[in-house]
Amino acid sequence: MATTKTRIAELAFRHLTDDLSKNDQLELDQLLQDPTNQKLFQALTDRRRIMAAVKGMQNAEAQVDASWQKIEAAHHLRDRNKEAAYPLHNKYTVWRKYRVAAAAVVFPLAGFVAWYLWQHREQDVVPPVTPAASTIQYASYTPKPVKAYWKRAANLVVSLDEQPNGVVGYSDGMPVTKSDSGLAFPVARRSDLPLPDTVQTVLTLKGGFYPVWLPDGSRVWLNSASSVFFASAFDGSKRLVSVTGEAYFDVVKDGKRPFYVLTPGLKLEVHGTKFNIQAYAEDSIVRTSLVEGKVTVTKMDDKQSITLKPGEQAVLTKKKKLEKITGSASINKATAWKSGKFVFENDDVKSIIDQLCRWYDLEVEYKGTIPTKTFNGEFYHSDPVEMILGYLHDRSGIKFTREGKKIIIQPLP
Amino acid sequence: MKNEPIDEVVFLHGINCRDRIIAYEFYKLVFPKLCWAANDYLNDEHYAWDVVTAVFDRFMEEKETYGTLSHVEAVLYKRVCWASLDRLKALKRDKSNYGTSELDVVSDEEASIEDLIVKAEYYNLIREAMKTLPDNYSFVLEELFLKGTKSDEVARLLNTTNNAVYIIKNRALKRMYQILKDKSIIIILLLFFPPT
Repeated sequence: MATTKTRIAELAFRHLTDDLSKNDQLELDQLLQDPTNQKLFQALTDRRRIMAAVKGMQNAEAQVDASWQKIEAAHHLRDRNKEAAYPLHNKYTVWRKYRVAAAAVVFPLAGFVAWYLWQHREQDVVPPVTPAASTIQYASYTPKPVKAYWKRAANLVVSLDEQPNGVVGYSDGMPVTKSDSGLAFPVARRSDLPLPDTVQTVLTLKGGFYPVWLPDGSRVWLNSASSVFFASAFDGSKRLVSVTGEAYFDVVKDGKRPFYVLTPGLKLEVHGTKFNIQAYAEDSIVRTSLVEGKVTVTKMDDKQSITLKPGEQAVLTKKKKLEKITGSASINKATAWKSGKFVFENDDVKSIIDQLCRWYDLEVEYKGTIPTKTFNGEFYHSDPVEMILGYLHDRSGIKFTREGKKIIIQPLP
Repeated sequence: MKNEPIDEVVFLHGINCRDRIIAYEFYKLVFPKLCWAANDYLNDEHYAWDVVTAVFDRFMEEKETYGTLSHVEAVLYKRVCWASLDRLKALKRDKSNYGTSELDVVSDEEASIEDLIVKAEYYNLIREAMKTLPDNYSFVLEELFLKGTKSDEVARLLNTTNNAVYIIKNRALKRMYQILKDKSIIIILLLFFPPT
């Protein structure tokens, strides 16, 4: 039935464009003996209907953004409601929970202050150090270290945080195992089985980090808010992997099967190598940094390509231009996250804050014009976020205020 | 997955992860088609936009993954049809409460969904093909085939000869036919993976 309808659509188009051959006409006459086909054919060749449909679709096209904004608004509302339903977010509950502890701290402290003032009443009074207007107002917050999921086909999601080491599931009959070195997909396959069509996704949330062994023995380390998508078994001619977010690859050499990595807008062809790819959608740029081996980066739209040598970077800019960075490329900076570090080298506030938000699972709101100053520094992922924000504050005229999971950034008055 | 173009693999991955940036790009592609399908039931553009928005909003909150983009589209078509029928029934109920006219309800839902997908894809192909054509090509096709303008009138509008209009028409049709031939595989895929 499917092919009949498709064929009617093709014949209808030929009819519309006066391109029907005699054989086509005969076939069409035969098909139109069925009243259902006749009805479909009429709908596809009625020019007024086509014009109305094209116009209707054009009108709808003009409404896409408005419609998407409604979807986004509904999504954020649901998120906010979930947050509000979480008891720890209720200020009264928090206060009730901690008021005894607060009393235990405040009363002895008040007693100590009174005793101290009494003892030093004859001495010169040192003016109290008042906190600056930019005092950072947030509690210590360190994310959970894993926050990773294995998303199998058919609506099955395995939380890797909750699973103990060992077999966590099966990929086409073969065990998938979790260990301290990551999630391993089976390399050896039974030769009597056909190649599976199923696909696998491993993803990390904000603040997550996870290593994965692919079905060919290659390794991928996923940074926060990232995902990797691949076939359960690579076929005989190629190995195809798709990535969003940021990932570091250590690819096993296989001369017969080139390794391809796909990201929105780019295709990478890899030959046994180590490289990092950063493709966060919100950054609007894709950065490939080569550590070892050879990588060819190709733009999907115009097929422009460049080949990278170790130490070089390819950047797909916001204007969709593919550029090679040779001299100033900092590979250590690009791959520092894999060693649990933030490395800032002439980074502006926004790019630093974006990295912090991804790792510490925070949101950001900018108020006013933020100074375009750049910063250098090195921190560990285990450092509390306020330490890094404190560093930024000390070196810039910027005020950071914490409201729950949100950081408000504004210039000092 | 192995036979799909590269862009589709990236799209599919984004959709399966419910990546909101990629989903938005995908939504821009499917929204006009789905709206046409909803409008075919509801005969009201604004109701159709609302129905499609609600269906995609629910889709984005789910965690189900799909093997092909065609499957995703087929699922969306089906849900839009169901949601449109529900809306139609609700409208009918409201109108009957107020004693106004009856509304037609589609009797054979499954058959009409199949036809609807073919029609929506077909009209969309024509729309997309017209968008990719040079301005004078699409103008001539729109006037001749969609508005039914005579060729000498089109020649007058373009300030050219009848013969030139004839040549433009043939070139435009040739290009459009090629586009349809290349893209008809989408319809085949769509119907090959029936909605679950």
